[in-house]
Amino acid sequence: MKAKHFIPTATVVALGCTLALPLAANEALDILEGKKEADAAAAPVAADGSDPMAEIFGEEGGEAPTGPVTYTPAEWAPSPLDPIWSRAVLFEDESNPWVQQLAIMGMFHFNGSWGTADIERTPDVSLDATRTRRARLGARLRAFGNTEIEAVGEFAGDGDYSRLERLKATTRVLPNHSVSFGKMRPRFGIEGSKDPQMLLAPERALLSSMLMPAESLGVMFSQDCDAWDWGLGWFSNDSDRYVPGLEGNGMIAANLAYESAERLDGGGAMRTRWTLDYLYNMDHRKSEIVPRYDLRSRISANGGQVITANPAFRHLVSTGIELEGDCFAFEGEFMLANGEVNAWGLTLTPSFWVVPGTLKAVARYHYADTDDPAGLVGGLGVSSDPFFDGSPTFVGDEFHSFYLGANLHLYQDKVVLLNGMEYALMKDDAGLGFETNAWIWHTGARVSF
Amino acid sequence: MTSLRIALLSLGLASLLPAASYDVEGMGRDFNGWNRGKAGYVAAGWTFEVEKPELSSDPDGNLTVRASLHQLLPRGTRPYVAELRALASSGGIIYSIRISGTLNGRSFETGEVTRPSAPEPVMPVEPAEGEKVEPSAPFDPDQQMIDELVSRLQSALSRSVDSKQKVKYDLSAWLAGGRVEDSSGLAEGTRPVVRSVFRRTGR
Repeated sequence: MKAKHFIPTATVVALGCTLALPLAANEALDILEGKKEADAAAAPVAADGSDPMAEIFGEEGGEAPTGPVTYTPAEWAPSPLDPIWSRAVLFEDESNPWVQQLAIMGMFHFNGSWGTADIERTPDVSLDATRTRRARLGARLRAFGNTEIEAVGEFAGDGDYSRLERLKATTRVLPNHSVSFGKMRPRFGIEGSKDPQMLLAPERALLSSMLMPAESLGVMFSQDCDAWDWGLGWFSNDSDRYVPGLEGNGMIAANLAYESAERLDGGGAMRTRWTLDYLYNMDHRKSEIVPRYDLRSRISANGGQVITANPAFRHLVSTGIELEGDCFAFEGEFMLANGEVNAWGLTLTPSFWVVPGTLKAVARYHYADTDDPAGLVGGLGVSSDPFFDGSPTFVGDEFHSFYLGANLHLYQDKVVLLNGMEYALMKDDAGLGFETNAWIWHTGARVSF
Repeated sequence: MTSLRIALLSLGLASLLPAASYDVEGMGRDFNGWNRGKAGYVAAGWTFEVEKPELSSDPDGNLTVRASLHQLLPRGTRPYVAELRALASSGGIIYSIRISGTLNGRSFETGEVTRPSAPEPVMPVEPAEGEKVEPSAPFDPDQQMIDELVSRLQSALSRSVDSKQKVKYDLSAWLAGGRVEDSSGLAEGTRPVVRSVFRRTGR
């Protein structure tokens, strides 16, 4: 029998377990004599069926995870484009008591859609179009150690769409408390609150575009805690391309969110965020920011129906949930608007990193409904947002949209190519019955800095 | 007039006080010469680029040297970026040094390495018959600081590569191939810059 000067720890443990059970004694002798490796020895099983190795190494041979769960999103790997994009920061000095950072920011979004809207009893409507969907340029200033000022101009679109999109200041008054004031949009809905460069699909869903309020003069108080966030504010109901005035009784905006991290079976973590947004429009019919478009006296593309009035909403509620893991994400939200016209709907958007950081598959199902004839108004393709482009406009009382696409990230979230196919169905049962369905191919490119 | 004389006298005296200095051009010669404020060199199998250091002095004559270097990969990616900060006394002796930076987008930090004090003299022990006594190595605080700093840098870089922090690659990062899989060699490749900083700091 060969003697060994040094017996590895694993061998000692395996021996201990096998020697503890008389039936495995021969195996233990084989290990000592070097005829068998400790790893190759069958795991002994006690008479009661338990695995003695588990007592030493744990259930699956590893440490059981303990302690609070935190979700850390993946970081972007270094890229040769980093030095170019970093030039957007014109000045940075954290020790300067007056100005800590000055940066330019902007976005260019080019969109194209190709398809045909098949309308019952009327000729088809072409949806082929290519547009500069967004062209924004602005600046961000961090000053006084606690204030951030943003000014952004929108130069794309016609009429009221090209405007001063944002002119606001956010001041941190206490460690977790801040107040924002100026021209900005009230937060409403997951899609509506996202910066356009972060949208997963080329266009927002019909109900999101229909209910999203316009930017106006307002003030928001908010607190950002570890788990809970809340915000409460007031906005003027005046809409202006440049600086709105203080008109009417205005709109109350309230937001609540809860964020947590869940542990997944594979050992990873998932971020969960639940949101609740509420808008109370005190001016109802006289509001110029909800809805933010004006389609009165427009003729719809389906059936030539006259849009006699913009929908007037008094209460708007949106609640949603966001899930984010390493490779997958899911957004689901339900929206309800109540006033002279009632409309509601839900949007489900799962996405998956086919190639993490490079190729993301996106799917979206959107459903919108109303009790009122022609209570839903919106566009298709590049004209999905009636505020951006009011033609062609479709009306109906039930809407379904299925979108499947892929986003190619050339540089982080800052240079993205979007492609996808959408099937849209606008029912008009309560109206004049001009049901519309369309297959639409979307292609878009977004560059932001 | 009296206050003016006092001010002029103070300035004159201050100019006579010892102050640390740094030979920037000499550092450039250590790395094949400065070219538009940068110098390249090859060490431990990698290509590095070091930038002209920034110097700042305080009224007491103490000197702070900040030297930045990064690893060069094809297509201009810089997965390893390090900043070395050395503090030198007015006598031109480096008493503190540290390195911080990023590797594959994740930050690392060595902590401060301070100048060791000379060991206390030990009474020589009579060697046993036939036993050979090796002479003890002379005390070299500069070399000890360099070795300690590079050792800490190696540990910090290993932790950075092995950490479970997730990284995602966009298309530009994939095409550039800018990722360091094996951090061994980066610490040794930083050693020439550390040595140069010690060598070029004086009075």
